[in-house]
Formats: sequence, C-alpha cells, structure tokens
Amino acid sequence: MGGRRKKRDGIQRVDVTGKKPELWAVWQPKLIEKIHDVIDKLLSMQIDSEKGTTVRDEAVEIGSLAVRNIKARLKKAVVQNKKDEAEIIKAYAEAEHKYEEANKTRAEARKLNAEAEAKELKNTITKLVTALKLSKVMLVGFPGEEAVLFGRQIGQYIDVLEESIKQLTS
Amino acid sequence: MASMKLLTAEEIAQLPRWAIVAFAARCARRAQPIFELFWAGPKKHKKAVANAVQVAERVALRGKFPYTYNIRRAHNALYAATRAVFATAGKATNAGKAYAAACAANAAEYAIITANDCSAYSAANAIDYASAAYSQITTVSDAIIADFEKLKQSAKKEHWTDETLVRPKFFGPLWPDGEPNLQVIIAKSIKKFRDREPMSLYFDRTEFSNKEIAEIISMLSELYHDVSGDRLVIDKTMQFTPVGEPVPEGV
Repeated sequence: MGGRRKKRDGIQRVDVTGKKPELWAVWQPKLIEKIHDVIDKLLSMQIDSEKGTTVRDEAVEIGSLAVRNIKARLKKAVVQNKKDEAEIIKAYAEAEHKYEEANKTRAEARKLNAEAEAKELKNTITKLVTALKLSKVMLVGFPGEEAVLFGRQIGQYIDVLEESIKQLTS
Repeated sequence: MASMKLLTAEEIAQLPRWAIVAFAARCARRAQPIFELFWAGPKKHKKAVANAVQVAERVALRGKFPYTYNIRRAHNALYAATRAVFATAGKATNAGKAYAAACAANAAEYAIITANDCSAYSAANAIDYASAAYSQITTVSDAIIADFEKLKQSAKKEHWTDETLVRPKFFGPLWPDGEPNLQVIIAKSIKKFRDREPMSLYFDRTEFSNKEIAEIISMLSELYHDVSGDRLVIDKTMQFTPVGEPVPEGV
C-alpha cells in the first residue's frame, strides 16, 4: 500500500460498476462472493486481544449500535470534493494501467498453464487481505444492493450509510 | 413460467412411469447450469440442487423409491435452497432465473415422489421451469421436445412398460445442437429486471488516503476481472463529514 498521507475525517464513498453493464448485471454477485472470501479470511485473522472478540462479534455489535441515534453526530449534507475525487480517479487510472501492463505478460503465462489463473485469483485475495489486515471490512445491504465498508470506525456512521444506500436504490 | 405450455401433463402421462421421471430429471439437468450461473448465495444450495437432479436420474435408472433418510435430508436441503432463492427474488437481478432452475429441480424431485400417480404433472412443471430459466429460448424448447419425442418413440418401438428403467445416457448429449447462448439469456433477463446498481464502497478517511482507496478498488477490480473478464470503473464519489462529539470507541 502507498504512503499513509492526506488522511482526513469522515467517510469517502466510491461507487463502482463494471465497464460493461451487461457483464456487471451478471457477475456482480460473483464479485460479492469473492469479497465474502476476503472478509472470511480477515475475520479469522483479526482478534481483539483486549476484549477477546473477533471482528465478526464486533460486526454484530455495530449492527445493534445502528439502532441508537448516531445520526445526530453526523452531517446529513454530502460534501462534494472535486479535488479528492480527481485524485482517486487519477490514482485508480494509474493502478489500472499498471495492471494492464502486468497482465500482458500474465496472459501469456495463463495460456501455458491452466493452473496459473486459479493461482492468480488466490494471490489477489491474499493481496487484498494483506492490504486490509489492520482494518475492517463489512458487507451490508440486501443481495444485489450490497455496500462494502472499509475501516475500524465505519460502523459509527452506519445510519448515514444506510440512508445513502436507500437513496441509491430508491 | 411459460405462457404457453410446451407439453401438457396429459401428453407426458402417455409415457411409462420411469420415462416420466427420467424426463423430469433431464429438464432439471438442463436448468441446473442456470442455477450455478445466477445463484450467488451459500454454496450448499448449489449442492442441494445438483443433488436433487442426480437423485432423480438415479431413481429413473434403478426404479427404487427414494424413501430413505438421505433422500429426506436431500429434500430438506432442496427446500431450504428454494426458499433462500425465493427470498432474494425481486431483490437481486437474475434471482428469478435461479428460482426457476431451483423449481425445476423441485419438480424433478416431486416426480420421483409421485412416480406412481401424478408424476406427469411434476414433469410438466419441470419443463415449464427449465424453459423459464432459459427465458423460453427456442434452443431449449426444441431440445426438450426432442427428448420427449425420443422417449415416446422408444417406448412405443421397444414396448416399454412401467417397469422399464431409463438410463440418463439414453438421451445422449445435453445440447446436441450446441449449448444455449447465455449472452441471449442474460440480455433477456436484464430486460426483465432493472439494471444492476453500482456497488458502493465506504472508506473511513482516517485510515485510507486517496491513493490507498484507489489501490483497494484496483484490487477489487482484479477480483472482478477474475470472475467476469471485465474491469471496474468508478461511477461517482462523495464524502460524508462527521460533526459534534466523536463517538467513543466501543460505544
């Protein structure tokens, strides 16, 4: 992961979709399955040594916290930050470009070795788990309307998140 | 469900007992890949559907009633799978297809249970659900009719009785004229359901910089590419800002 600079308060929401809508409509659930795999790996790794609880236990706790009135602690208004948006989009384009370059050589390897593809998927999951080792990942929402939450404190904002999910799907 | 029946229960009832069961199993076998493709929930439900199809084929092959403990367990598992799919139908794109496929497996199972009296009705249901799972495309309808005709002709020519067993191999390849074009099924399915929404990712900004957020999305894009061959794109971004007293940890 890159340097830990330019961090601020609040939550950054990024909506992603497939490049090809017809493929996204079909394969999004499979991506959710893979995210489940990542979460399962993380949950089995992360244990709060002081409380002796796993992140899975805490996720349940956060769910019940959502019932309480946390809303008041957050601004309802959504902030549009063009600068951050541009930075994320630029960094993502760079990361994708790197991937495309690497993929050219990997495509050749895949042709030669059928096992390479399965290994690659495993590597991607491991990479993601490693990147998120110190954080938390949660999946909320109904099938087809899932949202993924990244971060230790993110459960505190869950009411606002739920509201924004409703807005998104209404 | 199909608005016009491919075959009626009365037509199917002309076949001998195990031929009907084999036919229902064959329809469910056709629908099973649709369940595999469109069901994204717990894997145990995929297993339950696959098991139901296999059991129906075995019963047509051996002629034994499946009133054993294992079959009951299989029935419970299949019931759970169908309920789970039904619960998501209407919420998730393509869940209707998975539901139709699960129902085809249910119909095949029911054809076994009712093999002495009204299995033709179950087989007719299996046809309808299998056809619905594939959005009633003609490749599937034609293949189902071809199976039926093959059974009918063999039964007549070889004087099959209600004791005549039917091997799954009797039917030959599942798709002799080529597999159905899944892209067509997907396109038809998308027309019926609303387009799938983008997926929202929420990052705690105290933990993730813009660059880190981009890197995580890129890794998710890799995961998505592994399953779909496609990549993710950023649709939009927005921020939420907390106010007032920060929430103490562990509240």
